Amino acid sequence: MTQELPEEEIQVNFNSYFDNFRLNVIYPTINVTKSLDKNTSVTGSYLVDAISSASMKTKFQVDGITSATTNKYGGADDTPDELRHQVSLGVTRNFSDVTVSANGMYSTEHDYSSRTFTANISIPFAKKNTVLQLGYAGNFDKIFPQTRTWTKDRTTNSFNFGLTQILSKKIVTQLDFSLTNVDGYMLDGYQVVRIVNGFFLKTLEPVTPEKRIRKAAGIRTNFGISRLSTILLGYRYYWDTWDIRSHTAEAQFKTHLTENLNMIFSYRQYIQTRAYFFKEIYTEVEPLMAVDSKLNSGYTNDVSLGFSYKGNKENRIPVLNNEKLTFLGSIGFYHRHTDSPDWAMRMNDLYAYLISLGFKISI
Amino acid sequence: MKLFYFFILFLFAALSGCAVVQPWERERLSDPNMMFDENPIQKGIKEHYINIREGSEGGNGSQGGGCGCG
Amino acid sequence: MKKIHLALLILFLPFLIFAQEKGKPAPEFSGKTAGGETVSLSDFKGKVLVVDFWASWCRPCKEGFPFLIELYDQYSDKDFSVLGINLDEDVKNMTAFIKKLGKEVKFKNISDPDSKIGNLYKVEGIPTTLIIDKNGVVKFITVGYDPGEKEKFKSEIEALLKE
Repeated sequence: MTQELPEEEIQVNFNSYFDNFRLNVIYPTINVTKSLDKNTSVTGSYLVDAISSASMKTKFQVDGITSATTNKYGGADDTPDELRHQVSLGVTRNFSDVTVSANGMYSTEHDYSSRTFTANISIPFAKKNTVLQLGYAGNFDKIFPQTRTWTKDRTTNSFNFGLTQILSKKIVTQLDFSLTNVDGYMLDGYQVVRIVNGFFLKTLEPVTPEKRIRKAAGIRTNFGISRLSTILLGYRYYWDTWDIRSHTAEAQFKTHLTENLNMIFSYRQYIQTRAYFFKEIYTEVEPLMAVDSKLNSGYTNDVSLGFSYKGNKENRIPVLNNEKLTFLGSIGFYHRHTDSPDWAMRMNDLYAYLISLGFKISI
Repeated sequence: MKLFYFFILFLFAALSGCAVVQPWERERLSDPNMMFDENPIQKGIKEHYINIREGSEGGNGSQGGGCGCG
Repeated sequence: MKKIHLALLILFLPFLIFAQEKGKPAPEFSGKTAGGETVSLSDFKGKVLVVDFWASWCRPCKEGFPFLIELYDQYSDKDFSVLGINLDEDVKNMTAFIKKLGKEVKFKNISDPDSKIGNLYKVEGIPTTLIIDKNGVVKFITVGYDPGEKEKFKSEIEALLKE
């Protein structure tokens, strides 16, 4: 008995993101999966992020540093516009029932570089009614913002434990626990803290603790409610040493509209508390200061609708009748509310739209 | 330690409460819609934009489920 | 800690189900084809028989199905036959699969929607393929489909045909 390997295919996606914080991102991805032999499969992927945001460079300056002394790694003069390239290569191998996979990823842009290594093992028990998954991810980042003179490092070690359990002919559930240890610089490098005490005093770089231990536990269950439809319900609890606690609830409805057309509707709701050192306004210089909205308390709502259409001979339209092709498309809406306005955009609510189009071709 | 007990409890609930589903009885489970994260690439894209905007990470599970028949 | 080990042992006990064994007589069964014809194992007495448990939703089963056609075409002029046991819940899926295959399937396939025969044979996974000798004894069992094992499979059949 052996496990099934991922299907041999090329997948291409054109993704886009637009929000009311004037951030636009276009990110095409290409992914190739190929089997080397009956037990080994390799995957390579390439992603480009083309980011354009509002001209806000002046907002990123801190006292005592002029633009003449800042890092120069390209990018337009007045914006942090950038291109990010990401390549990854992975291998999956079956050893009888046990599946082992390893993946390496490198990502680079003009002010950031990142290396990630992941390793996973999945071990089935009890006629594959139970599958145990263990994973490790190591991540090594370098941050060198254009508007600063320094280069800083961040190291992340993450361990994951998962258990997938078939409960009945129609129900499957998954339990997941992850532990992440982060050391080093944990901000994006561009944010600034304005010290205001009746009148404006100065702008400084934010400072966070150099260590963060992050834990999350989640459970998801998939119910086959009819021959054509399934409902997934999920919940996750997260807690860390910066005092952020969060709850995430997720629901997905998937259905085969026709033999070849599949639809996924998903809804996700998220709520979090703020980091213990986060403040809306700093009136004096403090040892720890942060303005990043993701460290603020708030909630988010996320809705998306996706379709996939499998090419088939019955279809008379050219291309759509190619059995090797599957077409993918989705639209999404994301809303984030923070309990105080964002440090740069001065708004509490972020509204984002996501559109993705793609296809898969069997090789 | 609490979590460990939670895990053991889950194991009991999961394994003792239900009969084994035989490999040839997984017709419904083999439907791609019954899989968790049947498209890991799209999941990765979604996690990326969410991780930039929210203060939490991890615990999102891994790809799993499916036929498990052979 | 000992208690936990004991608990785990008890937990996994229900999974220790014993599969059909080599060297033992194949239990009798009968079932209906999509056309309504009743077929029994005893109908094949005196022949070397390949029995394949499969389902249209199982990827390795689909990959292995053409090999069954190949076997039937190669050996059916001798004392040999193939019998498919389809485990789809709906017999329509079986006929749709065979139709889509685009090849003529000359051997019989019986439908076992409630997995009665599957349970009787306690198969470990699908596809499970058995070779039963002329005396009705199970001589060979393989789970899953491995194209690399085709020749080995054929030599098992040839050896049994000579007996």
